[in-house]
Amino acid sequence: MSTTLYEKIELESDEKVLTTVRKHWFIITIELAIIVLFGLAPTFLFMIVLSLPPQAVLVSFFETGTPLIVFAIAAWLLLSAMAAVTAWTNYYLDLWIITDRRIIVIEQVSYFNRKVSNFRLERLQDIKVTISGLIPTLLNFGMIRAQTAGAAESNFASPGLPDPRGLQSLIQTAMDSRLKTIGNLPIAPD
Amino acid sequence: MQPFPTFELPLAALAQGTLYVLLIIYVVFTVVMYYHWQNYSMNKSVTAQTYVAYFVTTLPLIAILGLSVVAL
Repeated sequence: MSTTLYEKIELESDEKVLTTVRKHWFIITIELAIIVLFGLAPTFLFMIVLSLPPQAVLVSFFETGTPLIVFAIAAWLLLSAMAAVTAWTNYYLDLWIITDRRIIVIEQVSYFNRKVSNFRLERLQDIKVTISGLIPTLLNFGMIRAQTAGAAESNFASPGLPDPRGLQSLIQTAMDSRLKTIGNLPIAPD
Repeated sequence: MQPFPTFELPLAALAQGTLYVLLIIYVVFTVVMYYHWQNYSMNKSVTAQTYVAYFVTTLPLIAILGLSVVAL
C-alpha cells in the first residue's frame, strides 16, 4: 500500500522518509529582521523629527496632518506585514524530503512559482557541499549541489541548508544502501 | 507681477483612493496566501498559527487606515 506524501507524491510501499529539511533558521531570521527594520523606518523617522527643535512649518503640519501621518505609517506597516508573510511562506513551503529511495526537492520560489523535483538515489553521481563565509561556518549551513546521471538540468542545488555535511553523509549512506539493494534484487524474468 | 496660483491638495480624497487600492491589494494577497498555505502546507498547526499572526497584525492596521481616512 502506498502512502501519499506532500504534493500528492506517492511513496512506494516500503519507502521510508529519512528526514525533511528546511533552510537554516538564520536565513528567515535575517529576512524578517530586514523587513521589520524597513517597516519601522518611518516610525523612527517620525520620532526623530519630533525630537528636533520645533519649527513653525513642522508644528503646523503636525497640528493639521496627524491623521495623514498615521495613515501613511499604517499603510507602510501593512505592506511590510505582507512582505514578512511572503518571506515566511517562501521559507516554510520550501522543503527537501530525503527518503531511502529518492530526494524530493520542493522549491517555493515565490507565489505561483513552485518547483517540485524528484531525484532517485541510484541516479545520483556526486554530492558537493559548500560552506562559504563566517556566519555559515559558525552556524553550520551551506549549499548542497547534487549531480545526477542525466541531463544537466536534472542537477540540483539548494543554498542555506542546515548541517550540509550531515545531509551529505545521510544521502551518501542512503545512496550506498540503495545501490546494494538494487544489486541484490533478483532479475525479473521476461 | 502675478503671484503663483495656489491650490489645495485634496488629501482626504487621495487618502480614500489609496485606502481602496490598498484594500484591493490586501484582499488579493490574502486569497493568494490562503491558497498557498491550504494547498502546500504540511502542518495544520503551523498553517493556523500563520493565519492568526497574519490577521492579528494586519486587521488592526486596516482599521487604523479606515479611521485615519475618516478623521481627515
